[in-house]
Parts: sequence; C-alpha cells; structure tokens
Amino acid sequence: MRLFSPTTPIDRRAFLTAAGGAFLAGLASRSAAALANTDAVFASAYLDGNGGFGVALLAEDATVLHRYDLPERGHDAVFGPDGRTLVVFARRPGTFAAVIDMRGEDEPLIVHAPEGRHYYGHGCFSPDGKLLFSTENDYDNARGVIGVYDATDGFRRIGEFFSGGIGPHDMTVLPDGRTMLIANGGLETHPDYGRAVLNVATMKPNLAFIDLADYSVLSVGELTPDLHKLSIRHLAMAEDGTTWFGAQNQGDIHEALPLAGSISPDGDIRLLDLPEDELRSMRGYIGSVAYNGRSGSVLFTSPQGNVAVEVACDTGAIRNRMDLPDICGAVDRGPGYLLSSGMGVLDGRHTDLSWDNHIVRRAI
Amino acid sequence: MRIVAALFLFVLTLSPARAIELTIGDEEAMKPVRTLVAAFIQPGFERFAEQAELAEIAVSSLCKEPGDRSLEAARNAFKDSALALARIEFLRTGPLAQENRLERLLFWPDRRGIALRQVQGVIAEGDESVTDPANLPEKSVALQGYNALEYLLFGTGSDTLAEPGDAFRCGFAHAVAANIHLIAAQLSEEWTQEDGFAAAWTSPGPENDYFRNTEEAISELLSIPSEAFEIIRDQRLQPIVPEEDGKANPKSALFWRSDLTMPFIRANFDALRTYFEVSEMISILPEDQRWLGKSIEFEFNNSGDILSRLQMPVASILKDEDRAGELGYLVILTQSLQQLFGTQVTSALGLSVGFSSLDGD
Repeated sequence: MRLFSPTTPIDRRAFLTAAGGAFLAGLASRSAAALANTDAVFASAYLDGNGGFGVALLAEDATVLHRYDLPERGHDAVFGPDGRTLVVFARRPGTFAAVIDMRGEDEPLIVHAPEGRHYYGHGCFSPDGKLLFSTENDYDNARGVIGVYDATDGFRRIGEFFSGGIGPHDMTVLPDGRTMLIANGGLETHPDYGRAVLNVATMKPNLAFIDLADYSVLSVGELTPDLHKLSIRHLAMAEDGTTWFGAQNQGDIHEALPLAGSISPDGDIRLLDLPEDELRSMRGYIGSVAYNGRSGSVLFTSPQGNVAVEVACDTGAIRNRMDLPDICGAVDRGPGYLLSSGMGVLDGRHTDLSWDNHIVRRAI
Repeated sequence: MRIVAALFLFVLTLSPARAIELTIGDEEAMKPVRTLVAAFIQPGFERFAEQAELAEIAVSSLCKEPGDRSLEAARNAFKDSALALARIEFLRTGPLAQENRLERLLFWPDRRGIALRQVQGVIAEGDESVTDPANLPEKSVALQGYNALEYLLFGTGSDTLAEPGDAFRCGFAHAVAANIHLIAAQLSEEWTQEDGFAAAWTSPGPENDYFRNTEEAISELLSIPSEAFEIIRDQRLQPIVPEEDGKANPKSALFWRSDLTMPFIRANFDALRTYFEVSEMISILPEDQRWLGKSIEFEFNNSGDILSRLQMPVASILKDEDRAGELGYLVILTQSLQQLFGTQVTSALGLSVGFSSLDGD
C-alpha cells in the first residue's frame, strides 16, 4: 500500500492569484507593509463589522499592524520558518488556504483543496519549511488525510497521506522533527449535510503519531471507550514534546467529562483532573489550548462557557481563571497569555473585530 | 524584535461565572423555561411514549394475526409514533442527549445507507437474536429505531407481513417497536423526575450541576429552536432540494418509504411554533424588541402555508418544478428562523451571540 498518495496533475487545482484589491486590502504600499510587518509577532483571523473576513498581524502588545482580507472565514494560521510567509486556513468546511508574503514582494496566493476534500482549518510546516501540511477531509470516504504542499513550488499540492483517523483537526511536529502528532477529532461530516455529525454513536477520536519519513502511522492513542464522544481537537506542545490537548464533548454537554489532557512523545496519555465545577463551566467545549514554558502552565479556553482556565503543568492545579464572553483565542506571551474573544476583546481592549478561535505566534 | 513583556492579569473569580448580564430579572426570565417544560416538553414526551406503546401493540397484533388490516394498522401506528417523535426530537438536551438515545431512535443522516444495509443483512442471515427486544440495546444503533422499523414495515418484502409465515421479519419489527417504546418511556420518566433534568433547567443556581445561572438556562431555551432549524435545513431539506442542474434524489429523504418525509417536517415546524408560543419567550424581551415576535410569527405562517401545499410524497414534489422551488424557499425560511432565534432574540435579551461559540470548531 502506498502511504503517500501523490496528487495527480488532473486533481490539481490552479493556484489562483486574487486580482486587484479584493484579496489584499488595506495595503497602502508594499514597502510600508514590509516595514510594519517586521514587528509582527502574532496573527489571528477575524470578522469585521461589514461582514468581511480577514487575518490580522499583531505586534507583541497586540496592536493591529496590518489586515488582509480573506475570501471567506479563516480559522487557524501558521507562520513559515522563513519568517516571511503566513498561511491562513479556511474554517471547515472551507476549501481555501491563503498564502501571504508579509514582505509584500510576492502576490498572495489562494490555494484550493482538491475535489473531494475540504480543510479543517489547521496546518503546519515541516521543520525545514519546504512542505506545508494541512488537515483535510476525504469526505466521500469518511477518512482523514493530511494534504502535502510544496512551499518551494508555489504551494503546489503534491500529495496526501492518511491522518490515522476521521476528522483530523489540529496538528504539530514534535521536537525530533521527524514525528507528526495529529488530533483526529473522530467526527464524520459531509458537506451535503452541513455541520451534522454522522457518527456520534460510534465516533472514535484519537491522537495519531505519523513518521514523516514515510508518512506511516507509528501509533495511535485513544481515550477509554466511555470517553469516545470527546472529540480531541486542539493541541499545544511543550519544549520536550509533551503535547497538551483540549476536547469537545459531542454527547451530553452537561456531563462533567475530562476535557483536557496531555500526551507524551512516547504516547502516554494523561487526562487532566480538573475540578468538576470547572469542567461544567466549560460546557463540554475547549476551543483553544496554549502552552507557556516560561510560566510552566497551559491554558484552555471555552467560548461556550465564556471562561479561560490556566493550569500548572507540573501539578495540574488551577492557577487562574477568567470569565469573558466568547473567549477563545489564546497564545503565550511573556509569562502570561494574550487572549481574544469573538465579541471583539483583544488583550483586554475592545476592538471593532470579532476574533476567530485562534491566535498564532511567529517563530522567533 | 521589540519585546514587550506584557502580562495578562487574570481576574480571579471563585464564584460561578456570570460573564453576561440579562436585560431583565432572573425570576421573570425563567418563566418561559418553566412554562415550556410543564406545558410542552413533559406532555410531548408523555405523548411520544404513548404513541410508541401503541405502535408496539399494533406490531404485536400484526405478528399474532397477520393480515391486510393488521398490517395497515401497524403502518398507521408507525406513522403516528414517528410524528410524535418529530414533536420532540429537536429537544436534544438532557435525557435525549444521553445514552445514544437520539441515535438509537433516529439514525439520521445515514449518508452511506448503513441502516438499510444492516437490516437487510440481518434479514438475509435470519439472525433470531434481533427478535428479542432485550438484545437490541447491545446491537448497532442503526438496528434499534425508526429507520429500521420503517424498512421492516414499508420496505421491500414488507407486504409479506400480511401473510402468515413471515414470523422472523415481524418478530424483528416487534422487537424494534418495543425498543422504541422502552426508550420513549425512559425519556418521559426522566423528564418528570423530581430531581431530574427538568428540575435543573427550571432552577438554575450556583449549586446546580447543569445550569449555574439564569443566562445559561435561557441560552438553552433559545439555542434549541436555532439548532432545530439548522437540522431541518441541513438534514431534511437540503438533501432533497434539486441541484442546479435540476437533478434530485427523492430516496435521500428521511422516511421516503412511508411517505412521511413532508409530514415529519411539518410536525417539526408545528412543534417548534408551539414551543415558541407556549413559552411566551417574547414577553421577556425589552418592549422595543418585541416586534421580533411578529417576524417569527410571519415566518412560521409562510412556512406553514408552504408545508400545507407539500404534503405529498417527495417524488411527486420533485416532479413539479413549482413545488420543488417551494422546497428551496423553505430552506430560506429555516435560515431566517434560525437567525431570529439564535441571533436576534438572543442578543435582544443581552445574551452572548459569540462569533467563536456559535459555529463551534
């Protein structure tokens, strides 16, 4: 069996370069943008007051440095190791990824998912920056795949491989540079049925380790059968490769099931023993996970529960909690976290943008 | 790179979250929930349990005395029971969200035809274990509920149920009907338990395991119709609305074999209208926002008119361009009603209409 299926020329979609100002908006001049963007530390997708979607580059103090329009709603983004590329993925079941040259030298690209696939909104680069990976849905076959794009050749889609499960969402590459970890949420969905989950009774989420040398599934970690409705979605990796995860309950959200945990590089899964009150306050839903090595903590946000909880990595004890309507975006900053909400709050200040679920940090 | 070591200071909150403030007092705000539970939800589940019992009895009678009349009676009882389900199946919180009850009753959408494949497989094998209701809860959810029972009573080969000699198929149908009745009885019982979900929903508070405050209880009240219209649109209507090239697949409809597709959708809409009216949720809106009630009523009237014209087999609707077009209009009305409940009424009450939480990802 071929583990890596090359994308055939017939399957390839042309990379469309958006014309005029429809895609790249607000860019007064490329040189000005390039200057401003050198300070960019974070990025986050948003909805503006006119119903338009975009992605913003943010400074360390969360000042909005630059905004780029997107054709539809974006979700997560990833900075390239080259320091100049930002890729924003469409929210599921979207079919575009926007590749932005922050220096403004290259025209932005819209990369399209091939026929029969849609994006889940997350992706990552290979450590050398030559390949871009994205979590995708092979929806006719109810199978998760990772799309592989050649970053050195116009982000041409060169193939795909099995994600190790159904409904892959967030992903990361371990510090060894050779192993990928994928959160397979376990949800079977199909564009013909909107957001309906087609396999709630039998869903089986997992955390799959993939060998990047041959794209084979090295191992798969699962929760116990009584927790099979916990869709594992989001990841945040520590320096040693221990990866924290957050889940979303597809069953009765009033049940206080453990929504968070960690997996070590050798596959040891530990659920976080959060107090029942905290779990109930999250209403079965963790929307984002952020890790902070400086403070030795991990933070989970729940836009459904309007709450963020910071937990000490070593003891699992809660350090802080914050109540804020629709809080979701989170990323480490200094010894704390930069947070955003879908109701416009960014770093404690009101803005005129509704922030999407994630904030991503540029590699330093 | 400029490094600003700005530390986000958390607000340390030990009391339960109250991140959102309603525009009215707690007692007044809770009236719609209490009225709804007592006057709509509990009677709805009670009626569902009764209809499910009648269906079990009718199928049992068919098995004991096969014949055209008993088969017709069983088929009619199936329809009454399924329509009673349509009136409560969107209440996907509490008891119905537990123990896979929803999926066991209604395995839908079934894009890959799993229920049909499994039921046909069981019939082909003659697996006697499915004729004992006690065995069904351990089997695939696709074998346990209405989709399986519909095929057994209306699908290929079902006419043989009117003749003596098809004891296996009838026994299977009876076991499914009994299983449905069992689940329906559990649901009705749990909705009326003194310390059950109904009590939790109607009495929010810091010690409440389910609803910590009034805002959460009211949010549940409003999210149910919002999600229901999304389900009707995405899972019931869109699969049968013709594509741009005019092609459509009537067999992708829920309950097409029993010609119950459109009656089921109409029962959904009727029940959601009753949900809206009985709760009197508009009475807790600020006075200058109560016009929203008129908008909702207007959309219910429009959808009611359309649905009354579409009470026929899906195949017949799709053969008529005008009627098929009305399916498309119905889709638009579900979008409008979803938005009215999920966004406009919700924000009029001062509740969060989160960009991040509305479309969960």
